[in-house]
Amino acid sequence: MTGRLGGILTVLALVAVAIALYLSAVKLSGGAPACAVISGCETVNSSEYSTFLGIPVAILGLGAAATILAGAVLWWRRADTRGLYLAYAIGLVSLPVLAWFTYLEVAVIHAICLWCVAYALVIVSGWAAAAVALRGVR
Amino acid sequence: MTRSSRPSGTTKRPVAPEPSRRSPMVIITVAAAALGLLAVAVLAIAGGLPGGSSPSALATPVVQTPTSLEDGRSLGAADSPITIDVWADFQCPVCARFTRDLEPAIVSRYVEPGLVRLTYRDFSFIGPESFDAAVAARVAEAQGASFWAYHDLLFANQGAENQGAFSRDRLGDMAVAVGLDRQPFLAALDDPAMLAAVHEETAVGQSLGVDSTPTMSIDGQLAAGLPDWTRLSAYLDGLVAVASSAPTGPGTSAP
Repeated sequence: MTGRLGGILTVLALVAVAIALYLSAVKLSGGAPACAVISGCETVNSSEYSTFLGIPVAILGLGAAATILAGAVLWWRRADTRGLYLAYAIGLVSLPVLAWFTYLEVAVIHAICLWCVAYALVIVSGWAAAAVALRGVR
Repeated sequence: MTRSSRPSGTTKRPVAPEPSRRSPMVIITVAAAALGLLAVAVLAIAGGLPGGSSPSALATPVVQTPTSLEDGRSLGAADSPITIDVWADFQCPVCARFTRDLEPAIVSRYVEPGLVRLTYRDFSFIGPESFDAAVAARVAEAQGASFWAYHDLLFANQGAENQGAFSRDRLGDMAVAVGLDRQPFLAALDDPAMLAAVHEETAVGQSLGVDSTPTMSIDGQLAAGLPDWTRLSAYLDGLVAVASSAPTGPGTSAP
């Protein structure tokens, strides 16, 4: 049971970690290097909503993705259901937060960061995979 | 502890339901969802609820371009050995950072000593307010105000893209701030020639290969984005060295 879904969950978490790492690096290095024709990341990244209590939101996203990754690996490689519960729980905590930030992009900042959208989709997919896997655990 | 055996033949008593044990799945789901919603509430309160940050009073530019160097939309002497064209969009936040963080260093180290002539070029692509702002800056200059003072005000007063940061009212406020009369200024914003000039210059930028902002054209060499000052100054120092050692004549190629 842990095989295929465990692999999928781990890969999704790895992708989320990679995206969050990139966004964190961009933020910590002072922001996007240019305003390109096909991009809104620089606007989102320089908005007042890109930090929370002084911490870049991308770093918080990196923490969430890394925790999901740890849980996914724990379940996938050691069949430890605590890892699956952890990935599921962090994914579920992230859902309303991601919905909030997507709302901010669309309705307040009026710019869409494709990397942020990709991160949100990957986290939602990972949470769905964890939920499906948990049905087999119970 | 022995298990008492039930006498055979007796009727089976209904088994009392066991105290309900909630599955960890339910507990985790409820707790995680509640935590997520709590996080959103904290984010909304700490970050300020949307809608309360509509543009109001004008912000004063943190850095003001020295107008003594101004020559229209250029800064510096016309016979400076090096030219830098800065292709920018007034709604681009990275351009605002360029203006605030990098331009003052270029001006003080290269423009003031007469080594570089820096020119602002319109590359308007983010939306209608990019064009409105670019037209307004041209109108301000045409009506006798400092282009660079207006330019600094625009970058200091960016907001959400195309959401009123560069509305006519705000552009009028900026015109008043640089010493112009509001009504003639607002009337001139409708001059189709000004808008055409912005479109034309943007098209020129596209034909040169500009596809993002800010992009510097340093003696014709394009450098997109916000460069590291150490690398940029080393590059410009190299150009200055070549220009100062070369005899008057054909230009030198970039390193």
